[in-house]
Amino acid sequence: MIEVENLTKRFGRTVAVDDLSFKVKQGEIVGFLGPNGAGKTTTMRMLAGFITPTGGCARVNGLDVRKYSLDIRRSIGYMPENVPLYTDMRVLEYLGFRGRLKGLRGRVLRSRIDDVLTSCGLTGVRKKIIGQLSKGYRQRVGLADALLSEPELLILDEPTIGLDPNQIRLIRNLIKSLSKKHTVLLSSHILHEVEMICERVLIINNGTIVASDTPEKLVGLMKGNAHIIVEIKGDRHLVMGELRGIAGIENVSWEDADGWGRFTCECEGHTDVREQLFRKVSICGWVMREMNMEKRNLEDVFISMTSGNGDVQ
Amino acid sequence: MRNFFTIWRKELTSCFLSPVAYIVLIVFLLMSNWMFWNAVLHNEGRDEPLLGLLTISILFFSPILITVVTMRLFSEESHSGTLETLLTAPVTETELVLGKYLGAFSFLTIVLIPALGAVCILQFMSPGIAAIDPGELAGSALVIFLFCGYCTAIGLLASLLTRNQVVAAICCFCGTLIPITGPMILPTIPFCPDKVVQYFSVTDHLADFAMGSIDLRPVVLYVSLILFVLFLSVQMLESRRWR
Repeated sequence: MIEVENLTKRFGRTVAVDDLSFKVKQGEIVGFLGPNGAGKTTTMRMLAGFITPTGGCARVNGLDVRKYSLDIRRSIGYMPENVPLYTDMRVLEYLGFRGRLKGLRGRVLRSRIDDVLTSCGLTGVRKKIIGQLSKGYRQRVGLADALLSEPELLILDEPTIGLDPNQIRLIRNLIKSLSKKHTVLLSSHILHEVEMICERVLIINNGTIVASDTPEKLVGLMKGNAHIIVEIKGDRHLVMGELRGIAGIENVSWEDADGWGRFTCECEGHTDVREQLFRKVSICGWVMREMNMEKRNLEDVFISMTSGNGDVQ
Repeated sequence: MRNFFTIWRKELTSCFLSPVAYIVLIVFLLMSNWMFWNAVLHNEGRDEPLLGLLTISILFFSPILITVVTMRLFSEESHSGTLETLLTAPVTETELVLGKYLGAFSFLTIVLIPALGAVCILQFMSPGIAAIDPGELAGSALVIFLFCGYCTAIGLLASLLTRNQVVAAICCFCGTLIPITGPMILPTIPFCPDKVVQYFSVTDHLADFAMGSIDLRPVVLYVSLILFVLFLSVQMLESRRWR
């Protein structure tokens, strides 16, 4: 669906996107992650035809974005960052205007507007002026606009930014439901969101791709896959020594928690040593009030990949 | 070209959604008619063509009218970010520029028709004054429309240059003032050829057309200037993608 090869964009002397290459297959939901200024929006704008690449090549449906920009724009739904809308128009008027620009007319346009109003939960505000809507509703109007022409490819630049948890859940479910019909490329800063929605994640930093895989595999790449936190009442040095003796535990650190010892055990690879740990506590006769296994998540991968602290295998 | 009609319709309706348009419409009509009324009283008993007085009154206030109507065309879209949604829709730059241009020009037409109609009202109210020849009225209206069309194109280009509406307004005001005042200032420069100045002078064109002398040259001049400025605007808009 999307093929990007050595894509480069320069603004004067600033290199926004540097030799970027990736592919997105049909029907995939791909998350585009990266810190601010990494080049996510620039890449999405190039794919959507808003700006032209300085070098390299980007193809959507096999068509080059430089030569067939208009054809590509017919087959994509693009929702820009911050969702710019005409605030003096009513929701229905706006969707009507956008639908006509996308080539929809008459009965087809009306039925598509009804469909997107229902799927985005906008039926109740369809006659309201956009300027009077809350940010969440405006975000939904932007998404409804992107969905209007039933595009094969949806490019969503931070679709859940600034929304409350209920609205985020609604948008998340909506995007998930889109995967049956559409290919989705979305950027987000909310990593938990991306982990839940996306089948594949592209992490971009300083204009280049630093990782591309499923969220699970990326998390698996992290050193010391899991941390186990146990709170035990007992002699600090004795407990630390015993815990270090358990096979699969690489390192143990201690901190005080209201008179209890809070021990953080860093495990090797994917080994789960909770059972051995429980037996050890029981044999030694210590009192334990909490045991919790903290898995590394996409946030850890993101931070290590984009801050360069080399925590990835 | 279907997109052109969509944009044109949206532009025209958005003019009426903003209170600024109504204020401008009323203020422009009041000011131009007030000036025309005073000019008529001042020239009472003199052999001064009524149409000449009317068109000068309209021309005098036209830079303000055109500036207010055109300053927001593209600068507002750039500022609010809606230009991104427009340029990522399947719309060509030519459709966008023409749609916006004709949207603004249609609004100006709605304002200019009652302004030009003032002379008919005057004739209706005082039947004693000399009859207005419909041909002369049509000729004057043609020059006014062509000139305002040219200034609208300049305003549109100015609004493409910046995302700040105030800067766009200043550029547009200066851009529309130059074609009016330029031919008045140019003859004061030594060795400036009179014929060239005459060819570009809108006041001369208006005086000729108001007297019933219809000349094709100013029509060709304004139409080609409009097309040239619109062509520049399309190129400007296209160049945004390459920046």
